[in-house]
Amino acid sequence: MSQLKLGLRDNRTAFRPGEEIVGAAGWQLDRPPKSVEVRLFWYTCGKGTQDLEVVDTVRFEQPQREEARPFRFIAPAEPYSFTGKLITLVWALELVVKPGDESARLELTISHTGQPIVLHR
Amino acid sequence: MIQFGPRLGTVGKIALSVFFLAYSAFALLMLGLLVVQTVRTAQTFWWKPVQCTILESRVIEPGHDTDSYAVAISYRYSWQGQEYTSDRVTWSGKTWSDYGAAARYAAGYPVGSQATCYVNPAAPAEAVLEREGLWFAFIPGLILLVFVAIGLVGLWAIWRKQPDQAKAAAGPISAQRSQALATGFIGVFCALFLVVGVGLFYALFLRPVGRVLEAQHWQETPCVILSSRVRTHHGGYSVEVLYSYVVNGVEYKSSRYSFTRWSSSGRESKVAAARRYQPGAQAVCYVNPADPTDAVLVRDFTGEMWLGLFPLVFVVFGGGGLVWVLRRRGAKPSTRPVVGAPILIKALDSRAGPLQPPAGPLVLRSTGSRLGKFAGSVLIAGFWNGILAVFLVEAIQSFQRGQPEWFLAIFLIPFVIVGVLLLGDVGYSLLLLFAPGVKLRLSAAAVPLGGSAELEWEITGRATALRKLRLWLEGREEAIYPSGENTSTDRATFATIELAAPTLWTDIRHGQVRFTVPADTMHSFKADHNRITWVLRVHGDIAFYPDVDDEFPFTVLPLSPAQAAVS
Repeated sequence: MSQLKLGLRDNRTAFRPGEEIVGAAGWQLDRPPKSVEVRLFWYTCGKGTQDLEVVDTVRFEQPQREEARPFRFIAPAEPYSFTGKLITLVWALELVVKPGDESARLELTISHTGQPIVLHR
Repeated sequence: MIQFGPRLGTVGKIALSVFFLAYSAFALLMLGLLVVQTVRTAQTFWWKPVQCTILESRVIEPGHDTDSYAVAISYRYSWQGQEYTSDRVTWSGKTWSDYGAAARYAAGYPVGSQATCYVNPAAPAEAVLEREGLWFAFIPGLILLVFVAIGLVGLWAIWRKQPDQAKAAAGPISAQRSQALATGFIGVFCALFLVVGVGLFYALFLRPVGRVLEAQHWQETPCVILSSRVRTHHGGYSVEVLYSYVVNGVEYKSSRYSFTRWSSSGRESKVAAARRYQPGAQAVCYVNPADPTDAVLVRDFTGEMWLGLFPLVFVVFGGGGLVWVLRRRGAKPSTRPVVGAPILIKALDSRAGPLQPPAGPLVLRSTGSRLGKFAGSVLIAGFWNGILAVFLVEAIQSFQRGQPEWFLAIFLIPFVIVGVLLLGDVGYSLLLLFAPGVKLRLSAAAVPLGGSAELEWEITGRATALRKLRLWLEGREEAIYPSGENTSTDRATFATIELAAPTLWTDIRHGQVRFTVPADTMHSFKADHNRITWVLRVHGDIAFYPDVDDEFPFTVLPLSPAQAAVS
């Protein structure tokens, strides 16, 4: 059984635009991977059809079956994490191993206040 | 992505399935018939060529149940010492809408001449004079395949297993591509629309107009009218006339009245034309000097030819849709894999760089200008009512003839109601054109969260007609989702910031206000299906007239990273 983990420095999951997102990805796989990468992306959920954009990717060179690697991103300027009546926008990191469908995900908040923007108050 | 499943109940799913099954089955049946016909035609390519003698060759004029010309060509051939005769020209038969074309074909097989015909060795009594190419099946086959695919995709969309939320959470979300399939289908449809539109535009407008220009140089020739009548088709009438003329001592016949070949409404004009060309009357026709079988009675540009512009609607919708799909696909973001050191520090991408509001001031325009709205409503109402008119005229005339088509009349009622509503919208849009206009001037084209701007308004035109005015800034969510075969948009307003509400005429006509966008709200955001939209709204109350209700898009920017760090 493969195991994938994502961790962030100081377990911090809320960031302001421009701040560093520093963490490590660890994996223990049943077979040698062809590629391992961490993606920084946002997606929407709610009433509308889901939109999604991968903003940045860190691909690890020559990944082994069992390993831990650090990564670092810069929190993008936009869009902010927000939640409304119809739409919620979530930022996330995802560790993706190929071949296969295995992944691990960690949700983040990115906004100028460090909190998700609540639209209807 | 095409989604039916989660929004339909079982009854809805079954009803839609029956529809798509019937749709696919009908298309499959047609496809099957086409395949059988194609196979039968293809078999003639294995038949043996033999010499044959033409016994009869003439044009068959249309009877009351058909408006096509055919040829009667019989021929004699021998196979293994036995003599046979046949009158089969091609396997599926050949007809022409024009006498001249049929005559040209028959002239290729003069009586007594020798020709090559093709005999079925397994049944020598079967023979054809010509083997047809198989291209006739290509376009209909392609279209039928598309119809079959539509039905099957519809069924798949109804019954496909919805992604399990838990499973979806386990798989990589970031690998999902929500729009690829849908845009692919839309692209195929738009391309089909475009191809069909261009083809029809060429056949119905460009070619007839080209022939009109060509015929201006044809020879004026006296001709005798042999027969003339008005033929009734579904939804229209056409003049059918047969005339003869002599070129270089040879008598020719033609049935071409003008270069338009379709029927249209307006029975009176067709009856008048048929009366003008009574049987036995002398007239002038125009003959192609390069081909005496090619003639026309009216070589001018006729009013019906404007109908040939109708396929441009397909071209505009198909081409526009295709451009939209291509731009949408081209705009799809892609990941930017970078191979590098174990620790990779990624630079901000361009969209995440310092955000500078564009320099102001800015004069804002309405999202849908009133003229644009009016033109749009005229176009839609014209398109709808134009098509409807063809059937409506048919229904009305059926009553005038004393043979009322009740089914057609009842069937048309809901369509007529929609047509009347669309005409009402045209009237409303027309009135709005003469309502007072709104012009806004902003000190900055875009304002960051927490930022301020100066707004100046001016009412143009009949400003005194306004009893009161209200200006406000509105922030709203917009979510687009599939609903059946269409898409729906839900909106929810999350911010309403009142800017001004003058009631005095002088204040209504012109004024200014400074406003601040709240710092703790969301900036403008636009994705394919989810948006945060900010608009400046203006509402003016007018007595006994459509109110002024304009909306101006307004951009609220996120803070730059430097501003965000200190906020």
